[in-house]
Formats: sequence, C-alpha cells, structure tokens
Amino acid sequence: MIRTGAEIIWECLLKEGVGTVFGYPGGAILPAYDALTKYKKIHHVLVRHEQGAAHMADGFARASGRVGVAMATSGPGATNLVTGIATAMLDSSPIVCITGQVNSKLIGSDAFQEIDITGITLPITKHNYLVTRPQDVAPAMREAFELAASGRPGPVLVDITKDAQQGSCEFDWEEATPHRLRPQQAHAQASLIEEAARLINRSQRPVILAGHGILLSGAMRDVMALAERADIPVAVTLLGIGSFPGSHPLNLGMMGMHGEAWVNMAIQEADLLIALGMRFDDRVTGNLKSYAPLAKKIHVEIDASEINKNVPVDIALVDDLKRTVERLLPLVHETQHSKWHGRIRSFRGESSVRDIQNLPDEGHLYAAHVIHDLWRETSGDAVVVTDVGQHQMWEAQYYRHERPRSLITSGGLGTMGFALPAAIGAKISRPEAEVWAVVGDGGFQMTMAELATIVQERVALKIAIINNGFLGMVRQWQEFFHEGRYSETPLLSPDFARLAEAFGIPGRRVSERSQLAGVVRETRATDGPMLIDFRVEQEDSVYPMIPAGKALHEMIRRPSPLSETGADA
Amino acid sequence: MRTYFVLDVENRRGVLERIASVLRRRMLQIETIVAAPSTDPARAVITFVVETDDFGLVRIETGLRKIVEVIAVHHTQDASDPAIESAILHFSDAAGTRSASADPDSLLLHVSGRPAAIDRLLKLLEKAGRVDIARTGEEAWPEVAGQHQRPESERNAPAD
Repeated sequence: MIRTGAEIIWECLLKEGVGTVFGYPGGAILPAYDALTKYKKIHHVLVRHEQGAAHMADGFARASGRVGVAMATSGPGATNLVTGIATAMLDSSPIVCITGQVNSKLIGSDAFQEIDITGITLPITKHNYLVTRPQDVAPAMREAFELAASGRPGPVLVDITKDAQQGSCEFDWEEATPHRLRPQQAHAQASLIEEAARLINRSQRPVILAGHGILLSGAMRDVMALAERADIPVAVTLLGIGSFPGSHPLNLGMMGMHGEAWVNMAIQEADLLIALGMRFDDRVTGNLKSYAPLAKKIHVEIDASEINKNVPVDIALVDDLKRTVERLLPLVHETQHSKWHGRIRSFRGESSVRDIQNLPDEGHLYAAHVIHDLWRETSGDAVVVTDVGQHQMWEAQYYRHERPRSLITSGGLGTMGFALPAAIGAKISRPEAEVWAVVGDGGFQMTMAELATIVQERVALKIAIINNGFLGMVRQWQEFFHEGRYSETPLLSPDFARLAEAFGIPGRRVSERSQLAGVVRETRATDGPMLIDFRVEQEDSVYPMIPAGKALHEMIRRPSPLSETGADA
Repeated sequence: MRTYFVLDVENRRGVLERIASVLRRRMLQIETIVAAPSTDPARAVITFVVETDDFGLVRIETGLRKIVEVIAVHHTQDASDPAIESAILHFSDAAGTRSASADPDSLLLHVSGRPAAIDRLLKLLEKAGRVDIARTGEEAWPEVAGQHQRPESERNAPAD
C-alpha cells in the first residue's frame, strides 16, 4: 500500500505495538503530526519540554520493559532530547527517539532549526539514523526498535527529513526486515560456565553483586535460585534494587558510596564476587586498587566492552544473564555458609545505633523518616521514581523494594530533573500501579513544567518533594570536603503546595513527623495527582559515605550517639 | 604499542565517524587511516593505526564491535605483516640542478611500498632538495593482519 513517510512512521509504531508517544510538535515534524490524526490507536502525550518527553519515554520503558518512544522537531526540539537520551544510554534503557529534520536539500546549509542531531547523539545512542527518503523510513524504524530492545538495551534515534515524511512510497512491513551483515551474539562457553561453578562450589565467602542486568534479562527467579541453593548473600547496585527481594534474608542491601557499612565490608572480605549484570561503576567500587582484594571474580555481562573495563575478572561470561544463570544453576551445589553470614552480621556492629531511624528526632523531620514512613504506608508496593541527590540515596536505603521495576532512578548519568517526567511515563505505562515521584527541591524545579502535562493527561501521580532548602548532596560534599563553604547551594523555592494548586493539583505541606502518615494516607486516597512538600532537616547528610578515591571500608559514618566523635573512618 | 586495526564494515554513511568516536572517547590519536570500498560495494575496508597498550586494545576492539556497521575487527602489531603505503612526492631541487621531468624545476613521484621504505626514500631526497609529501596512510590485508583474530561469534561459540 502507498503511504507517505509520515504515515509510515505511525504504521511502524503500530506494528511495533506502541500505544503511547511522548512528544512536542514543530516545523520539521509537522507532516508526522498531521498524519497522527489518522492513527487514533496511538495516544500522544504533549509534554512541556522535549527533555520531559525523553525522560517520560525512559520511565515508560523502565517501568514496563517495553520500548518507550519520544518525538520532537528539528533543531532545539532535538537538542532538548539530548539529556534524556544520555540518561537512557547510561542506564541501558530502551527508547526510540524520532526527530524531524529540515528538507534533505537544506542539510548542511544552517537552515532554520537545522542541527546535526545524528552527529550530536552519536556517542549517546546505540545507533542513529538520518533518513532522507520515504522508502527508508520503515527499515530504519524497524531496526531502531530491534536495536533498542536487544542485547544491552539503549536509546536509538531516527532523524527523518521533512521531504522524507512528505514523500510517498510502497509500505511493506515484511520487506523492511533488518538485514545486517554482522555476526549474531554468541553464547558463553560451556567450559567457562563449568569453571565458574567450580569457583562457586569452592568458595567460603561468596557475595553476589546484583545489577540492573538482572531486571533487563528477567532473571530475578534464576538469581534467587542461585543465591538460595549456594546460600550466597546478595549485595545490590542502585539500579539493581528490586532485582532481589528487599526482605529476603540473603539480601544485604545496597553496595557502594552510600551503601551500608556491612555490605561494603562483606565485599572487601569476600573470597568470590559473582557480578551479575553490573559494570563495576566507580560509585560501586571506590578505589580500584583496594577493591575486594581477596576475591576471585566472575562477571556475567551481555556487553563484552564492560569486561575487565574497571575491574579485572577471573571468569567472564559474555551472554544473556538469564540464559547464563540457567546454565550455571544445575552445576552449583547446595551448601550453607553459616560462618560467613555470622561474620557479615558482626560487621553490622553498631550500625543500628547510628541509624537516623533509631535516633531521637527532637522535633526535626528527617528525610529518612519521610522515606521510611512512605514505605510503611505503601506497604512497599509502590513504584518509586527518584531524582538525583541525597533523597535518592535515602530512598535506596529506607524504601525496601520487593519487586522488579519498582525503583526507577537515574544512576549512571545522575540526571537532576529526571524524576517528575520519568514518573509520568512510568504511571502511564502501568496505570494500575501506585507511582510516587520522590524528588528534591532542586531537581523538581528543573522539570516542574511537566505538572501541566500531569493535569492535561490526568495522570494520577503522587509527588513527594524532599525539601531541605539546599542542593543537598552538593552541600554535603561542601561540608565534608570544602570546609563547609556553601557556594551556591542554598536554594530559594516557591511554595510548592500552592504552586501545585495553581496547576490544579492538590498540594500539602508537612513539616512534622506526626503529620506525615496522615497526609500520605490522604494523598493515596485522593483520585488523581497530589503533591506533598516535605520540609525536612536542612543540613542532614547521607551516611555512610565513601569519599571519592577511597577504599570501600574507608567510609565516613554517621556520628554514633555512643561516642559522639564526629566523622570517623 | 603501535597497532594496525583492519575493519570489515558495511559501506554506509557515517561509519567512519562512529569509528573515530570510539577512538576519541578513549583519547587516542589516529596516526593513519585508509578507507575504501571492497570488491563488494556493500562493504568497505578501513585500516587505521593507533598507539595503545593491551588494555586499550581490548577496549578499542570491544567498542568497535558495538558499532552496528562493523562486521569484523582484526588487529596486529606484527611488523612482518604486509603494510603498504602510497605517497606522492613533490621534489624541488633547491640547489638549482635540473631534473629529468618535463618541469625543469620539480619532479612529481608516486611511490608505493612499506612505510619504512618510503621513509628511507624521503631521507635520501631531502639531502638533494625540498620535498613536499602527501602520504595515504598504511593499509594492511585483513586476513593476514588478523589471522589470530576470529570473529567474536566463532571465538565464543558454545562448546556444548
């Protein structure tokens, strides 16, 4: 059948099963938006800024496991997507971004709203396309979806010139099948899997490092079976939270810069690390020279470029994680590591007395209280989308996630402004889920224009602003490492509750813990969106903290009420 | 170590930029690079030379393999592998002696051979006058350069 390039875009999206597109129209993408009026099965979410569209597509993808789609025009529309694309790239999130481009004859002439977006996004996409003919739209779209979702997922951009959208050609979905010459992804060698099993069976002090790849490959049950069979404690990365049930007795908690002390100590004393779908990020390892010095390392990872990149490993299994663990499992012996678990328990030591949860609040509302009580009130069942900074770490520490895809956060790029739009995408992808955006006062103000999107789209999103009047994590670094010089971190904000009301969203303010549960209950009981402005202690810090470049055991801990010695190592 | 990479790629717009991006992100400078279509017009062979260590070599290789258009990656440091370079030399006789060419004051030479041989020729000519040069960069033959490098699919093929 004959279709315009613009119509082919939507035909392809329908074929790919896309029901929602997040976007913003403009000159070079106008033919596509005009054609959209014929495709009623696709719901378009009009964002307030294209960055929001990319984050929404990202949140949609992370919450659902399906490819998220964002659309923008050329020039500034395309460049506004860039932060969202980079965020998706660093966290392996499958999104397809479609941008309009000026007429192909104008490319390279600095025409109005012309920008080389394929050049700009080259290092932050898995792949990108500049499509200049209508007959190339379908092959590019089809391959873009395949690439975004396959292997290590990630963003793909399809830039389509206006004349390619306006021109017509025969549309044949089957003919548009990608034909690439490269070899297929191989499987891990059986001998390496056998060797990995031998290491696991010989180990006395093993630790599983559970990363995002477990969620991406859907290997949660397999990893749990492995951990339970060999009685292996599990430490999770920030993006790996939810890959292993938070209440499971083998779950130690989060590792790394703001991981719990006992988790990092266990890694440092382990004789075997089984790294599953994680990439030994610098926020996870601390100083590489002193990282897990006693441990052999097995790395299961689909992306060969991650092997030996930061940490040399003894066995690399480059393959799909689920498939690999399925092959590994029958070779692993049932065993118990009681002595090792006892040792890890001893690492906990006085951690509980340092926990802010167990300290007298003296009338202060701490962010940790907010997160803890939110967890309690939601029974740990909510999908929480966090921004970046202190509240992100407190959420990771105090909200216990039992299910996969229940924490959505910008880990690799650390993108402030992510939470609100990503939470919109998450809620739209899973309307049945209770979705909370937990966001700092700084990050919220970066993308708060999307409150209008929430209202226009009637998205029943709950928003918790952890408002400490500072760019909190930067302030904390200034306190610890710059002698308390708070250079440009105090933050004046509007009255968020009244701001929400101006958008038509009910808003509340909470400044005492006694109010907290009641307002959270009211918010949960409210149909539609609601926002709570939590006025929390201004100068609290996230503990423990491993200063950049230090070893995992060289952490700054919350001062103990038993010693009151200040920060100690 | 000086390493020759020989890539078999799909002959598509932008592939060179993607390869350069992999190297740029690793802060490597391309010493020479040659790109040309192969006998199959859908494919091209790209040869480049970089200075790197063992760690960098693996990172380059795995980074290149992630490029959609890259079909195979070969590399070698073995100087005995045939690396050929072409050069156009414009020789001006500064001493004023006459050359055998039609132009009485200069000589245009096209030479091909091992890079070291071209270097030696240059030194010889420099003694006699001023030489302007345009070198193509080094080319190598993929099967020879990468005879120890099989495609990833073969290297990781399941034994079971």
